[in-house]
Amino acid sequence: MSGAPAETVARLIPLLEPFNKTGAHLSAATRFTEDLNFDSLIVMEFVAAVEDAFDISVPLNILPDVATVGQLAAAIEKILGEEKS
Amino acid sequence: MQDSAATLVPSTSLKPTPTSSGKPKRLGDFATLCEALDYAALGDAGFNFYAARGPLSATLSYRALRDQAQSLALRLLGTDLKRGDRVALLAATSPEFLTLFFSCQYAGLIPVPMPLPTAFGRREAYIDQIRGQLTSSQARVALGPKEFLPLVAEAAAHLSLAFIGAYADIAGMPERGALPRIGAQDLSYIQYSSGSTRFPKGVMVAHANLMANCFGMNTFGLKVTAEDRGMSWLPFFHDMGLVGFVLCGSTSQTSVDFLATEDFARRPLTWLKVFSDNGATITYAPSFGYELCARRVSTMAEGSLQLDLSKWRIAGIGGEMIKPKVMQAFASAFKPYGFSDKAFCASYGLAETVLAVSFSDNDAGLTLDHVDKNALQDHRADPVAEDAPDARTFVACGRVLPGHAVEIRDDDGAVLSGRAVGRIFFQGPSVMLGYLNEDEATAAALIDGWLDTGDLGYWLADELVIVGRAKDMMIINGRNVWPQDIEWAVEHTDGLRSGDSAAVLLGSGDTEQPAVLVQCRASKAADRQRLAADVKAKVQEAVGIACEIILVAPRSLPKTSSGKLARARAKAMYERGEITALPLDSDGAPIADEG
Repeated sequence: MSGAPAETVARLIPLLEPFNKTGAHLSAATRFTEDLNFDSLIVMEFVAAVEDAFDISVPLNILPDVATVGQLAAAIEKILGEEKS
Repeated sequence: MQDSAATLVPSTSLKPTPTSSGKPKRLGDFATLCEALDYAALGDAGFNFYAARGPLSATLSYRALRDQAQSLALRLLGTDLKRGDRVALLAATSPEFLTLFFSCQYAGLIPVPMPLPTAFGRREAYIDQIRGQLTSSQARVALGPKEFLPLVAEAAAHLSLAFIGAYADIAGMPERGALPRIGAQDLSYIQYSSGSTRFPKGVMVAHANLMANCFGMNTFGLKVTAEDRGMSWLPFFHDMGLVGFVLCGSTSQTSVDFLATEDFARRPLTWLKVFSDNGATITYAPSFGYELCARRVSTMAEGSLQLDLSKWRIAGIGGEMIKPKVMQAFASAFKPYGFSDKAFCASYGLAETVLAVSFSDNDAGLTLDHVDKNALQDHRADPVAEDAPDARTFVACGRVLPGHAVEIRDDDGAVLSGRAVGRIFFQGPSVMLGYLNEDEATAAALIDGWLDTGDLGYWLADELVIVGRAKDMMIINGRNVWPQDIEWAVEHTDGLRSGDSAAVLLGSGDTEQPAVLVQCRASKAADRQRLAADVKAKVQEAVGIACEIILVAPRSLPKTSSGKLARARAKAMYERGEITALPLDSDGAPIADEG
């Protein structure tokens, strides 16, 4: 999942700021688990923020394959594409 | 969330099942779960499913549940599944899961509820967990929501399952034969909620165990009446969600409203909103559930939330050590909405006892006991003033279910009384049959008809107080985390080997934090920093929690006489300063290691 859409990453970063307890540098390469210490509760709080911001529903089954901000951006693009079609 | 196939009625015309079933209440005096559902199906009560933002998305009356479950049972029996075969069910909070769970009951098949993934990027860890449970249970079939099936197929790659499919696939199979007769001694389901990921142990629950525990909870613990209504967001693969609401509800003909766990985590206040809208009276959560709500409401504008919590009769707390400060914060945050802290109900139990061991009195609130921290180390709970510097506060977890008994014993097996701290043993009809295919573990847990709970406690008059888990299990945000799983991850970091780590909870009560003591051979600060970061990432990846990583000198972790790691001693020695952390910011002398 390379070539993450830069625009979506740029929208995700401000959403991530309140959850960035480790002070990690936020970019497409930032890893949720290793860099941001996300546990399953924080994941859901953050997913709720993403859903509100993008007005989408993020299905649970994509979570295991989303390790980085860039991968999440790509997943969001895909959901937005599917909702349009 | 993905439950749309459930009841195909537009949501505007859906109505939740009524609180009153319209039939005389029976509180679990049934021989089997099938008999209990047959009786519930005579009335109008049932289960209701709510979406993340609050609208009702599906209903499943006990009547519809019985009809669908019986039909699915005949379809399952039409395959080559044989009585007693295990059926793995991914436990989504959905009508389909419940229908299949009950269809297994009628068919004499044994359902094994399994978790859904909830974290980012932990694909391998999730697949390992599912593979462990599929292997241990020898499941012949695995069913789940279709979007998760690729993960299940991967987990089952080298196992010989007969079928992996969507919930809906079973509905398309032909009905065949007749329903078997199910007896009280037959197995009802297998529960993995108390097992470690690496070393899963499936608790075998017979119908008789289940009925004894549900009867005890419905009559003694919750004192269920025709005016009661349940609400839960607890996962169906966990004993508190499955037994506490699905099974207590169906054995007492009580309507229950469900919110999926992941939706609760996204929008915790939906829990209270649905609870208030439907006039519910009973709900349960670990402390962190209450904490999330209190935190969320504190950021909301006054008056923006319409809640009436005055009917809230039982605000149950279980699943982890109860944090009194968290509960007090919740009570003050929701007092303006009619919540009374008298509704708090502390209870204690474990999967090996189906769910419950003891319950505090209804309408009494929490009973706090302040004891001397130092005396606890000598196995005594000496009372001290609340504000004493060495005070530690515990919550009393109530009296033991009728028809069951608890003994608190010292290390030599002598029965203790009063404020002496010892290991908790439990006896009675709720005790599990054993662990599936684990004779050694079963023999270690069930001794002369008594279950060794592995927990430590003492008596406060006739109430049980839980001090901690002797079995090392760590409960973090309501999740059971096994130190073995953390250590396994740590010891698969480059430069470390088996026996190099001890996962412990440091501190106590409200300040408990997971940490790993790691034996480190590196003498350079930079190498130590790198090791600590690697270990932290490994633990995050494997178990999904952030642990404090404490590097210690080689061979400083204590071992038992048989060479096993002594975690409790490692924790005590670290907290007393007998094991010290190696500095990360300065080089230290190289330390010889012959171990």
